[in-house]
Amino acid sequence: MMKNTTVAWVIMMLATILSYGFAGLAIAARIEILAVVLIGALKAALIVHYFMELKKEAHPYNVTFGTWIVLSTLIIVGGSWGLVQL
Amino acid sequence: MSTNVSAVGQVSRMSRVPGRPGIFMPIILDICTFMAFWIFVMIMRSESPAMFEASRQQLNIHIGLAITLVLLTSSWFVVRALDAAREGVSAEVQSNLRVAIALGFVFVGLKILGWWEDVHAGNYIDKNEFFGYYFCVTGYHFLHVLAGLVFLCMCYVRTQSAPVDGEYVKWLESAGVFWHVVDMLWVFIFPLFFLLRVV
Repeated sequence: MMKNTTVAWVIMMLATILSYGFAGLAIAARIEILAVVLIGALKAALIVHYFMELKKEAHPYNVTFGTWIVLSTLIIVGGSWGLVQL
Repeated sequence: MSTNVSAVGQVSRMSRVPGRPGIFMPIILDICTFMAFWIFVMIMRSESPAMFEASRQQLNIHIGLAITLVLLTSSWFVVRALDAAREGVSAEVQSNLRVAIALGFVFVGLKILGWWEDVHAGNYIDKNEFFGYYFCVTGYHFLHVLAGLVFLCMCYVRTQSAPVDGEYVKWLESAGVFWHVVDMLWVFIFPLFFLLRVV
């Protein structure tokens, strides 16, 4: 049975390839931006939870990194959406 | 009584922080610096969307993808090394760290190749704001990769001269946390410069 960290690594590899694939698709720009940035945020969350091992403990660093991921996502999505015309 | 037990349990849960004490504070300051970069890049992008998109399309997205996959895999091998260290299997720690470090150097090679292509195409740091930010952000991140590699190499060398004990695990956890942060930063840099198009 695969360890959680191995499952997380496989998900991140597939997610990276998926986001790369999104970049070449002719889909609505807002959907593309949201998908690509959310995939990045998912990968960052998996790194923090499984690789950095901040999942099991309720110490403030877990919250700090989680907040950083959310803010980074909002900055990039918000900044990008401001430009996009549907 | 139950309150005390609960409080003790909470203290116990909160006390388990991976790595050496103090490793997180400089890292948190560092990731805040990168967040400032995101803001500057998005402001620049909103001011000159056409320039941003034209410049973005000149980057080699395949190298960006390869770098991301290499860095994620290197991080995974650091996790494997840490698991082996906790079990006290020195040979396994060494073999996993060797792969993690080798992949780190692959990152270095690919990043230099990417920059060489950019410069060869006439895209210097002073060409426009996009390339100014691109070289600054990826260059600053590159310095973190080099620092992380030094940290990992020190952990590798130590396995050859000292036992894999609790103290060693703490050092490897610290190196791992730093390496994973480098990885976490790149998963935002990759879409920011390579993937997100301006329509």
